[in-house]
Amino acid sequence: MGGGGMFEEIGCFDPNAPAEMTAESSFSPSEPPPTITVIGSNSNSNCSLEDLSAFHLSPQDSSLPASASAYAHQLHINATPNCDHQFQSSMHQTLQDPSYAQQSNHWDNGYQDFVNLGPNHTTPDLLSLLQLPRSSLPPFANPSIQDIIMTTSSSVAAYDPLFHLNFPLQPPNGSFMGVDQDQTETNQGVNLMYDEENNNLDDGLNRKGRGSKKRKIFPTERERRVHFKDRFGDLKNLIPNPTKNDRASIVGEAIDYIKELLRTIDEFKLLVEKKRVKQRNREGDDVVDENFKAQSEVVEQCLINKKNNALRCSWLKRKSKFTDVDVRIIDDEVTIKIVQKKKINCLLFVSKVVDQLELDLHHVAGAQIGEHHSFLFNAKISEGSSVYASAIADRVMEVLKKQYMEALSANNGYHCYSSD
Amino acid sequence: MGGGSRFQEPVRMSRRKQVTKEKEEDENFKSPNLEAERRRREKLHCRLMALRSHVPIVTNMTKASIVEDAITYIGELQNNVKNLLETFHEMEEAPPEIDEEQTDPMIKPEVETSDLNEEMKKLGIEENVQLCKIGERKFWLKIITEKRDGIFTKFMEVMRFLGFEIIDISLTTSNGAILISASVQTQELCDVEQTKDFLLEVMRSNP
Repeated sequence: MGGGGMFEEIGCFDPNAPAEMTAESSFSPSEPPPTITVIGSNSNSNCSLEDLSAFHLSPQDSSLPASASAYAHQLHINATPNCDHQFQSSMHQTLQDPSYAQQSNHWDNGYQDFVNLGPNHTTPDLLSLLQLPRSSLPPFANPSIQDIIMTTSSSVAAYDPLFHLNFPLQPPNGSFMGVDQDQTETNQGVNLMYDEENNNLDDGLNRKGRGSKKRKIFPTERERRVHFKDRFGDLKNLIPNPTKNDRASIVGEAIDYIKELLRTIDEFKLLVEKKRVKQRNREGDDVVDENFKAQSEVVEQCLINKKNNALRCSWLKRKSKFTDVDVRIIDDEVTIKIVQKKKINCLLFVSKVVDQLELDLHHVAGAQIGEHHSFLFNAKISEGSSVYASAIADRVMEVLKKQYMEALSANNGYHCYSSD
Repeated sequence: MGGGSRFQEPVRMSRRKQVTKEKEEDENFKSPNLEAERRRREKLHCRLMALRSHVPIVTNMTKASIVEDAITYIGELQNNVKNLLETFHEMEEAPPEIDEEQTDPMIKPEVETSDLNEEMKKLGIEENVQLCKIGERKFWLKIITEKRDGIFTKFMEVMRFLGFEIIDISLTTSNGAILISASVQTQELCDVEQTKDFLLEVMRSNP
């Protein structure tokens, strides 16, 4: 009956609708508690209207009971799933987005929501209604506005004209809510796009890099190594007496061999020049008479000394498993140093080589030192002979190697030693 | 919020621990051949740089090209040596040179031999052979004789014939005379006087 009284009083004020609106607008901010009580008294009608709106908006929910208590329970159930949904979405975001700030913001929002819901037991429906439009889609904004209109109106007949009168108020609220939601949606969209772009770029770069690496380097790397190995093999074949097989030794011996070749070239150039000078002098001799031979010889010597200021100088080494030969030539003097492991006395063979090369032997010294024979020969080159350092060294080395091998084959007892 | 932070923090902590564990494992299991391998690579690198500095041909700075350029350069040098040697021999093989060379040796030996003999006579040097016993099978040998071509080779052949193993030897020439001083060792016993006479006779005989 109290309720009926409320309806009658509101019906009495029907003709003064604008006055009521102004009174309520001025009344509500001054006294918050009375507004709360009024809203509570009107909860029943609001529930019925919301049922209708829910039926229109979501036909699936029509299966649920339409009673007020049932609807209230439904509201609670709707609220909790929303929270769960938010939680799941935040979890997904945490998995997708490594940024921590966004996660903290979401968790803070959730915490505030729970705190707000806790103490306000008297008005749970109103708060839930206010929250739903914010978190949900824009269409829900309209029901809240309709609810506000219903609070001012009392009868169904008066509903339509009040709705028309309050129409201009809807756009600003709707636009405000819409703008907020749109901004959030656009932000989320931008974030998603950025994430997708990042993922795509990362995947593309990784794939391209891997593909390029495999295609470019894998076959080329093997070919490059084989090529490099072949080059070292060729270099080793050029060296006269290679001792070791590792690459550093091959390169070192190549350097020494290049130096030797350069010295040999200089030596030959000097010899050729001397030969030319001698030829010219001899041609001159033919013209001169016999009486002046002595004088012409003196003149030749002077010319030779003047023209050939530089003395002939060359040296080189030869090494093998058992023998080292070192040859040095300065002008017409030759020094030969030989070191050989103790097997046979190499003096006889070296002296034969020296005789064959037409060297005038001047001094010999040598002895057995430990397991080696060491000898030093000093000799002079006879005039007109074509002897050069590499020839002497090659000849001596050849003879010594030959004799050494013969000695090894002759001595059967030392076969094991030679194999080692 | 608290629950969320609890879920997040352990994951990060575990990741950090994994990273630290990996670093520790790397430090503990360092290869024992690491230093040796570094030295080997450093040695090869230094040698290649030295080779690069000696070769004027520069195609590229990669290792393979360094070796290739060196091979090419050595080939060129060898060709130069061959060409110079051929030129040298061609100059020697000329006919007038051969004629002159044939005449020169005929004159020189006679002059040299006569001069050498005269020098020895002036100085009063006489051919001599001394053989002394140092140990049970060791002897000291001294020979003074006239300088001739192939005299040392002849001496070595005599040593071989007699079965003497040379321990140390010294040969000096001066004023047309040769002094040979040697320590020898024999495997068989021999008579000193007979050997001395034999050596004197052999060294005096003309080839």
